[in-house]
Amino acid sequence: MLQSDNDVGRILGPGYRPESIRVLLLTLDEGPGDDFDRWVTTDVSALIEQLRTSLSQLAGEGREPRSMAVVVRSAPATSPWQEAAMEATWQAVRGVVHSLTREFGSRRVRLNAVRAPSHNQTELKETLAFLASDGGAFVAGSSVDLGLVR
Amino acid sequence: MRALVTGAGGAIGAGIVRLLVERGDEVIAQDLRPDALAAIESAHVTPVVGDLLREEDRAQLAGLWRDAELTCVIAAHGVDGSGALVDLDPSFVQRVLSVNAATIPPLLGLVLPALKRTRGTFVVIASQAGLQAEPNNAAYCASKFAIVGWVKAIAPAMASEGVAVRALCPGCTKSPLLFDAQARFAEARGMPVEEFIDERREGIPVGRFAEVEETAAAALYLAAPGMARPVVFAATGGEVLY
Repeated sequence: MLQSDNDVGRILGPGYRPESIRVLLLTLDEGPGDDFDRWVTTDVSALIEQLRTSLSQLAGEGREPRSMAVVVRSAPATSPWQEAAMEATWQAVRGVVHSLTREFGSRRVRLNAVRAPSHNQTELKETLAFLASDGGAFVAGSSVDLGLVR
Repeated sequence: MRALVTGAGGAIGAGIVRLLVERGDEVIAQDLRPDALAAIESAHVTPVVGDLLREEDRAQLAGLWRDAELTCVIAAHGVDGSGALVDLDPSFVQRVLSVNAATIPPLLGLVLPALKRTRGTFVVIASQAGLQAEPNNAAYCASKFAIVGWVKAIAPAMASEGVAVRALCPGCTKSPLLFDAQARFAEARGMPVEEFIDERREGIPVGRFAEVEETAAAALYLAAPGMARPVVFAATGGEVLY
């Protein structure tokens, strides 16, 4: 399911400021039908459509360069097939972020992808804060996988 | 050996079918388009017209090997997904993701019992665009990145069941799909298509596009059952390094 700023604010709580970074949150949740089809076909299609309107809007706002992140969150997979579907979705998001970084450049909007387990709140907020900060200004088209082993 | 090739009416699919037949294999050749299948008619080819998006068409396919061995499946079907982001229509994006990516897991599910019996191989023809993204190609890149990621994730579990799942990532192969995509890229950049193609070709270390036979040969190399092969294999002329 794809969620935008209002829902993201509720999920990430105080401290999330949409004026500093625009977040599109893709939650890989259980639902009717096939996981792969629902996440890759339906949700990634919705993501591309949302980016189509958002990137043009942000780039045209004429303000300071903006940071935008697509966040993919999921609970642990319950089977190898579900794990593979989750990996496919994350890779599809990476493909979109990489393609659009090369298509649009990153002078007006820096687009990055973040993957976080659903229980991970603190590190996700810290990562988004970093991407929105001056220190993160050279990070564009990157994939940040917070699910890897520490 | 008996092989199933989907998208057998496309340039790469047909090339794969021809090489398999030359090698003496029996081929079940699936495609959406009956006229495209007619072009690869042979005593060793069983043509099947059907839509992989439709469950009833997939079920019909499964009936063809019920009593016969199936050693290898090569999923060569796919559609172009190129276009600038501003021009991408949601229904177009859904179709690209559905055809190029979402048809693959159910196809593996369909052939898995047969491939387990033969300890066979399942090869997906992905793309170099599934390894390195391209501008003006977000939908296609999403679909190919998805399937390369899926192959890498599912391969270990399938290997423990005796089935090798692999992905070929070809580069620019001379085909109608390639030239249609180049035309869209050229349009997105405001360039004449011939100039765009020349520039593209110059950027490939081997200095040319692949012949269909070369990409088909790479697919057959990867599809060899019982042989050690990479899970993901790039045949890109050096344009994308993997």
